[in-house]
Amino acid sequence: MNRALPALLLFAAAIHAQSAHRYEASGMVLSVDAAHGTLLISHDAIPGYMDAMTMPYRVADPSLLQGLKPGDKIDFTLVVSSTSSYISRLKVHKFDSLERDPEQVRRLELLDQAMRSQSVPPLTAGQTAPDFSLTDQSGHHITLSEFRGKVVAITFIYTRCPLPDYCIRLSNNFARLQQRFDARLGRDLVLLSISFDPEHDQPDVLARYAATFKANLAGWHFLTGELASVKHVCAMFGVNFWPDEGLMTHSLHTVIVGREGKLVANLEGNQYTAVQLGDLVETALKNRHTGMR
Amino acid sequence: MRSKIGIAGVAIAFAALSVPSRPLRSFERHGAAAGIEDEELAIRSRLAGVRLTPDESGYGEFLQAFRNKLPVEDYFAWQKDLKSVCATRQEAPREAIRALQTAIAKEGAHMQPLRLAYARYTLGQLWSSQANFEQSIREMEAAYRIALKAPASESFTSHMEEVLGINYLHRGAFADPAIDPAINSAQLFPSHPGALHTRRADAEKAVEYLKKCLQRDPSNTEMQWLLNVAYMTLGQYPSEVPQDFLIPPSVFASNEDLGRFLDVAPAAGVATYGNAGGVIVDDFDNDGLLDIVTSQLDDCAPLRFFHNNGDGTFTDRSREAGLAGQTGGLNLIQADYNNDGCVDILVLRGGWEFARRHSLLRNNCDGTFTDVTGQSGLLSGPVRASQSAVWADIDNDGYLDLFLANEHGGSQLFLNKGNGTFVDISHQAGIDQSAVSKAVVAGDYDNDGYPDFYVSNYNGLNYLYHNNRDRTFTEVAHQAGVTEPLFSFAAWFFDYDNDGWPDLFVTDYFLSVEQVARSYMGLPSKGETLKLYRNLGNGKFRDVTADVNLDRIFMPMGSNFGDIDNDGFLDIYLGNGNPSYASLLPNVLLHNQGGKRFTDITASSGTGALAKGHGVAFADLNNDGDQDLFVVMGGPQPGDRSPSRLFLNPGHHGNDWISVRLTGVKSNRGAIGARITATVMNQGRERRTIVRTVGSGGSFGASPLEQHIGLGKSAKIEKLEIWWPASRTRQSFDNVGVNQFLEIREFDNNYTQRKKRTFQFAGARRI
Repeated sequence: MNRALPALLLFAAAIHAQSAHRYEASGMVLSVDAAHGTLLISHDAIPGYMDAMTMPYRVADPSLLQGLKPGDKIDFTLVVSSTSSYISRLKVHKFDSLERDPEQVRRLELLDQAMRSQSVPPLTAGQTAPDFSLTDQSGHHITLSEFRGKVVAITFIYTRCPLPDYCIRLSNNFARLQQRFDARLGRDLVLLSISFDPEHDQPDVLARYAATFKANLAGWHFLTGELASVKHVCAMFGVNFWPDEGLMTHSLHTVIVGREGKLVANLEGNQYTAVQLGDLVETALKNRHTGMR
Repeated sequence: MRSKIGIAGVAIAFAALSVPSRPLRSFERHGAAAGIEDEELAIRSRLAGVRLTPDESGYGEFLQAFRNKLPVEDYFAWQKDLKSVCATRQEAPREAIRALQTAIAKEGAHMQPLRLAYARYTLGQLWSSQANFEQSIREMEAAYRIALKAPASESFTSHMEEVLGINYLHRGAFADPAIDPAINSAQLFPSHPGALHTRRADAEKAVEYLKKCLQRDPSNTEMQWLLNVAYMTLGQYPSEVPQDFLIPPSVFASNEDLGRFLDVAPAAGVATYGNAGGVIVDDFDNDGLLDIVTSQLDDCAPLRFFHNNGDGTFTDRSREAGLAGQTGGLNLIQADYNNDGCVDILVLRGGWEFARRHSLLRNNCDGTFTDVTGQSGLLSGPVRASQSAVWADIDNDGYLDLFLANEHGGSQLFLNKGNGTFVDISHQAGIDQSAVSKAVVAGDYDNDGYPDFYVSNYNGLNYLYHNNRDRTFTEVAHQAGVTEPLFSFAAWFFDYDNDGWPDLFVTDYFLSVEQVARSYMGLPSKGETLKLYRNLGNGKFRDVTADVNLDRIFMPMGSNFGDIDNDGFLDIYLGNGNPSYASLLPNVLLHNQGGKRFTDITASSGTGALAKGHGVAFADLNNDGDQDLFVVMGGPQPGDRSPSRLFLNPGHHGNDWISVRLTGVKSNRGAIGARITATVMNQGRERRTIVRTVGSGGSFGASPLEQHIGLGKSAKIEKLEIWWPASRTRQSFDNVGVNQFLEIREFDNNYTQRKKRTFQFAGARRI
């Protein structure tokens, strides 16, 4: 991506040569380079300045980058002067996800933590994702490690998810990734949609679900398995789900695993665009060595 | 396979979604333009943006605590041992409360404020589920205070205002067993000033919090609804409700008055203060009086067997009948499965939760029952969660077979071998599709003499299984046009327009008080409505929901049908709500006006009980010639108990009736599936036929197998015909007198008149 960056920067600098301007903007962090005090952002349109795009930015103070990770949704203030541009303020969005009942997700998480003596904390960015094995829509075993060297995007859904705001949106995001990375799907990029309703979402059900999204099964796999295995994988990425009157109360997560099997980003909720998700994937694809910088 | 339909259409729709910013809107727009053919996706796309009612009751926490305590080893043995199931159900919430208290005590001081607030809120929910409202409100108020001081907590703070409004309202008006519901008009909807027994301080607090919510979000119709209810409990509706938020009384007014029913349950001794459950009304000891059996979802609550004393009272004979050990059960149905002349009981367990055993209780014809589930072969396969089953003789061999609708792992069909045992033929029969099946009902929709099945599914399309007459079935819901709603619950076959073809009624259980309120208020709504499918007589049905004014949104659970005014047209009673304390919705009585339309007579009939409505039965419990209403009330947990209701029919209609009890000889003895056709002349000028099929009615609540048939004004029965399924024979009787109880045996040339004594219920004196 990084659409014609240098030219644009020059252009921006030329227009705003006279005085420093401040712009309020928001976007998603794609990567962080703490050593150089920069970060790559896929941001929304900045009214009066530029359209939505992917840009690297410098921060005024390197401490602003502390704790920042790929996938974070941020609000920021961009200062543009005749000679330079930099981010003067940066705030991570703690956005509400749109589960059936987000309060209930949090309550049940707390309850489960209190009732169980030990709980496994989910992976953080940079950690290597332990291998797992599940069954795909054709009944074949799929292991995470077989995709080593490729970028793997994983999302968590159930096919009977009743409202388009939730799982269907996550699946639709993947359909857009499939379109955008058409040529690289299966070779360089793998998409995994894991069902946390494995009892219902048997391979045949997943195959039909895949068909509704015109999934290219060479690179997009729909996975199910024993409930215990699915739970294990979900816990690894902080995905929680509880059966609830024939539905599921669940958290929404989409994760990116880098070429070397390390977690790049874990996006919670659904308040990001498919373009931003794609930019994040693109960034991971570009990085031939590791998921993190 | 139904899911083949429209795949291409959907793929087009999804391809059209390639719009970056607002995929949801695009979904709706492009979905409509591309003409989505996939029914499921089309329905889901219509539901975008609906406010689902949050679980403000702690039932979610309770259920998760229960799940956390399920044994890993010996799970199968646990599922079959009702005592162990009860013990786990009692211990789980206690342990969850202890665990949270410990966590808060140990880590609370170091927790981030919002996390601590959530922890105390969660603890409050658990207390609330266990009926300790003092503790629950204390925790929730504490969570609210913490949130008020915490940074970036606006959304949580406003959420807690809703929660507190809902919980104060629940405690104030509906959580005190000392309140006598029979004289508390606050619990009949819509209530009016006077005779209120509400904890006023709580109701006032509720008003205060709900107003805060509405000031912030005036468009929240769920809160608006609850505010109006809160004023009702204060006796200040409609006068004191702020004009901006008033739901005017005209919204609830009935356009028709068939007399006011009176709840006589307390005086009759059947006002069990309990939880969600099932009911059977039938004559278990063949003494001519209808008895009542109730169950509760609570795994520790035993079946209650109320023997009808014939003097306006009932005696609880559960212990003597050997039923005290039969705990739990969200639903019950009856049938004489072994053709010994005594009605047996089937208890269904695990509905909405997780699998535990069902029980077949053989009536020994001596006032006792024996649990024969194991020896009958009904526990031979895996144990599955179920809350609906139906008895039908699928091969017309004179023995009733059993269809169990399961919530997971596929439904089951058990063939009755005629020797007290059953064999599982689910797979060969082709009915073992997996879905969250919430109802199964039987009806011969093509009148070919063999019963068919309709299975309603929650969060999936429904199935219509056509009987191939060889113990196999073909699923034809799509061809027949009866797949919806997507969130189906109770269902039944009934001939609402008396044209001789069984029609199909299905309720929708989409959980949104907002949409129910909007439906009442006549605002545009997005939820699915009830469904009435008219049988066209050619294997197809037509959706006539809107034509008959049933295009309304309730949240029905238990429900059933009967003829409350003996006009010969079947009426509907819906028990509404879901576990959330926010789903404070009245039950609803819908009167069938001549098979043309249904009209809401909840207010004028006084049957709008304001608690969670479960098993419903229509039955003439005092032999006075009209059907009364028995309703099991209450939510799924201790914090949401409510007394069962027995609404006595005022009988002000002046219409005639007949009650027919059939005894099969070659056909199954209880005559399930037999058809009664009455050719009636009304007022000497109008001739019509009324057709009834023997059965216990709808899927959630069981009415007596003897058929009470309303005949209308000044009726003469010119001909009464009985069609018997196993022998395929027909009996015909001319000029049968009205307003009497008959018994008719298969093959007999004459019918017998049954002498029954009419009596009054004590409560009926009080107004």
